[in-house]
Amino acid sequence: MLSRSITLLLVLAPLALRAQPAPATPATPAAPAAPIEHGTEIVVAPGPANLDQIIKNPASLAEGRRLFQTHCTSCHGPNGEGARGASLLSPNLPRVAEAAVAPAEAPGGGGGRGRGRGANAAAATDGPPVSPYDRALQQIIQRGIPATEMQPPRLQPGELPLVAAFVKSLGQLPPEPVPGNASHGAELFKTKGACMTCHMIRGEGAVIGPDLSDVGRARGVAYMRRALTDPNADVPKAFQAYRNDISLPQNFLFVRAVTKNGETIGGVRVNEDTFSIQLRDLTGKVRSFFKSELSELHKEWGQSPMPNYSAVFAPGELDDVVAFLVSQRGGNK
Amino acid sequence: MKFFHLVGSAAHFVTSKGCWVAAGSLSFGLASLASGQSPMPPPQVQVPYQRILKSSDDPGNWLTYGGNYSNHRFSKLTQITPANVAQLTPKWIYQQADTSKWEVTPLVVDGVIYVSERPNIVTALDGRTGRPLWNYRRPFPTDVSICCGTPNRGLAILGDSIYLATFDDHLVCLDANTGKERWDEVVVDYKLGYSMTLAPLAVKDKIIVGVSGGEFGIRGFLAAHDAKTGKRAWQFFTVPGPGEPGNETWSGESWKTSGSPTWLTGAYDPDLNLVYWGVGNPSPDYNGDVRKGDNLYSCSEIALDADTGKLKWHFQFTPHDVHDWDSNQIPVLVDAQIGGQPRKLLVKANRNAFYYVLDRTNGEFITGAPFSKQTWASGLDKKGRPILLPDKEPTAEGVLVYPGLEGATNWLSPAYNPMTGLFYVQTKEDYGQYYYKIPGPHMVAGHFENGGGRNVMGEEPYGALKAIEATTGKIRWEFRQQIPGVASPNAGVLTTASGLVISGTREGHVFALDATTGKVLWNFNTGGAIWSGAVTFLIDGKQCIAIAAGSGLYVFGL
Ligand code: HEC
Ligand code: HEC
Repeated sequence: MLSRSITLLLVLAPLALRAQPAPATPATPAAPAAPIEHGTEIVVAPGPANLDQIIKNPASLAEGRRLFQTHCTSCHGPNGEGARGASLLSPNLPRVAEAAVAPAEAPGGGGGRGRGRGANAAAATDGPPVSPYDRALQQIIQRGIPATEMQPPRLQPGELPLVAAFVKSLGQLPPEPVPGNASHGAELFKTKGACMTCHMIRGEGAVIGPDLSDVGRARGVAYMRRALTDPNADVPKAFQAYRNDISLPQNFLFVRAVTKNGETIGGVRVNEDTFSIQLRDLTGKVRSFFKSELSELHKEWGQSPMPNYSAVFAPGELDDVVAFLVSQRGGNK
Repeated sequence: MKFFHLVGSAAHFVTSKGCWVAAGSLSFGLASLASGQSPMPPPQVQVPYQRILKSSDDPGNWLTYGGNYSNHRFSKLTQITPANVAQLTPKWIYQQADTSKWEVTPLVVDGVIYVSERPNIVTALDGRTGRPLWNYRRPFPTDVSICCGTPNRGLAILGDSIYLATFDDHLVCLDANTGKERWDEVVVDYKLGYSMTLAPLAVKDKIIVGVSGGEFGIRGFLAAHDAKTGKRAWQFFTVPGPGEPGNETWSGESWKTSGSPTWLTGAYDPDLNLVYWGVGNPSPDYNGDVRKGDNLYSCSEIALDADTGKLKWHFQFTPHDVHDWDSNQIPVLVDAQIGGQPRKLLVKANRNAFYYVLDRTNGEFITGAPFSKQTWASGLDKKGRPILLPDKEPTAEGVLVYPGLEGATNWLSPAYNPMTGLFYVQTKEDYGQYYYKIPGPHMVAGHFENGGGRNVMGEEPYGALKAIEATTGKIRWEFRQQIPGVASPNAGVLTTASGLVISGTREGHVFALDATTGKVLWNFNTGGAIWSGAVTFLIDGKQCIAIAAGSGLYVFGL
């Protein structure tokens, strides 16, 4: 353990902005039972590092893998193949590639306590040059992606470049094979599945369920399959600290309201405050109620109105629809 | 005397003239005239200590942060009632330039409203129109240590001076008539991680201020400055040094970086001449390994002699806190019968989810009970010390404990209504967090928390305004509020002799409840998050209610 710490320090030494004490022998906590979110903890890390340098060092890469298993596999799968989180088996991760060309944006994660004094001021002063892609990858991991389940992890000083390097190394692996015929899946999506009665893709369809234009880059293959065969298993929920907008589709909530006249309305919560609630009913219409007009309001946490498709599709058809979903990578903007 | 200041500024105040006469400062005006200053105009602003002392009987004004020295936030005004509160309409809205949270409790003196704005700004507003009368600005350094934003919660007034505690640790005295600076004293060096966000407390001839910085390993203290000259009158360190009793409750050298700040305003009992102040969390917040022991006087109430700053008694709510449950919440002084005996009480709804009733003459624990969901203690023992449940200390992986780190309640002011005997407080419910700890060194002015809390995915905590029997801790009723995402309710409470409770929500509703039943009587959507406490006062003899929401100060009237 000690020798590994020393190797790490050697690798990172030129990058350290501030003298840090030798990291304590890293504990290996089990992945938390509940997923990480509202992670306001952003430990000050040295500035972004050149990741290829780290990848070349087997000890550092092994440490990066260990960190990945601790902090990331619960969402990205044991080998980065994706699950609730995106597949990371690409040399050109879409969010990262986007951030690499965009001007630096504000840190994510919302308000709360900024425990990371100077977190976004970090910049390498010397050492090998850092490519925009490497910088963006480290920034995304450090800050998380606002309004998604991807929250800032709790990394110790110096760990960020290691885990980022491991993620980058995953890009050299072949992407997971996706059986199925995406264009046939597209057909089924429109016809037999009647998915567009609830979902939108690139401006077409309905908005009872989440927009799926981008789902291929946010979710892994297994997750997608499970969404079809066990819709209640993973209802999307992503809290952001101090978010004033609760209409984000990631924070999906199915509600059932009964008015004082006896009408029952099932729908998706669009917004809510102390005195009123706005929901989208199953016809897609927005309904607004003062709570004083309702006799009952049920919040069906963890429940989805989406039908279970295991009996609807033949196994081959299921593959086709999943292949189609995996191919939905951007284009809703 | 300072009457020369007043000549130039008299013209500003024509509109408010009627108000100050009506509100009882006439006698002071005449007194100064009689003292040979004629033909000088009488002073526009005169709030001597005697007047603050009797602020409960001066409901046309709001003279100190908590409404009176007991922090009741109770008003004897009765024009606005449960029957007519639904007719309240906005009279004017003042927009400050800053758009971040506005945590101010305004002061109102004879028709003029004084507010602090971020950063380091003081504005005097004409109460009839909302037009600014003067503005004071002070540069704000960029290298301050910020744990939780840079708010300022309000001002103190004494005589004809306004006092501002700045984020960068200056205590500033302004001429209340003009906003001109009279003196500016450094309380402590902000570069050491200290800041100030509280409204100072004016007691007799002194201005008392406390400090923030429990996330930066400061050593907390409370300080009194001479109101006239700004000179330091006394200083009390909330963490005893070597040789002082209590120092042994800190292992090793941990007392040096021990936190225990004093970042909210305290209370004062003129009969006992004691100042009461809540003390914050020990540093580092979540990892107690480096500071074994009870860590006095962190998470305690302290009672100090107002003249000397000497400690009279202390009561520790949460010994060796590791969940950031500081005890800075506003102490409320209540005189009530317990077991047929009249008692002088200090009550507090603590961030740790317990409500406490103490004897404020000696700090003895009388009773206490949880007022919100908590999973860390099975109760309080005879002396009020929590009986801890096992395995609730933060770990590397995280341990689920209720309440979460923002606490069951926090800095927002409660209110006490002597007519209902109820204590009203905004709380956060269904709110647990996974507490984790990490190791980490102390660096001057660097974050020294060594852990934190993660929310429980899928849970949606809610806000609840609770009415608690002040002497027993029993909950009478609650009013639930939606809170956006996982935010906390952050509005203070106001209560009136006409039987109203007024507060606000994080989404921006101001609302009025029946003080006895908790029934909603009125609400108004300001559209801006409410982080402040409402106050009530008279303008032209008519009762008004003011509350900051978003970046606006809203003034409502019938
Ligand atoms: C709680 C679930 C969760 C955890 C834990 C998690 N992620 Fe993610 N991550 C996601 C989700 C969901 C996305 C996709 C967000 C989107 O684009 O909508 C994502 C996206 C990403 C991306 C962006 C991919 C792209 O499109 O460019 C990277 C890189 C990433 N994660 C790395 C990590 C690393 C490294 C860790 C561990 C330190 C981690 N994540 C932990 C859920 C998670
Ligand atoms: C009755 C409305 C409805 C229909 C029809 C429907 N869905 Fe859904 N779907 C939802 C809702 C609501 C959610 C969000 C809650 C959940 O996860 O089940 C959802 C979630 C999903 C998700 C997970 C999205 C994410 O990011 O977590 C996928 C993938 C999905 N649906 C695909 C489909 C496909 C493919 C079809 C057609 C074969 C379909 N849905 C039909 C309502 C519907």
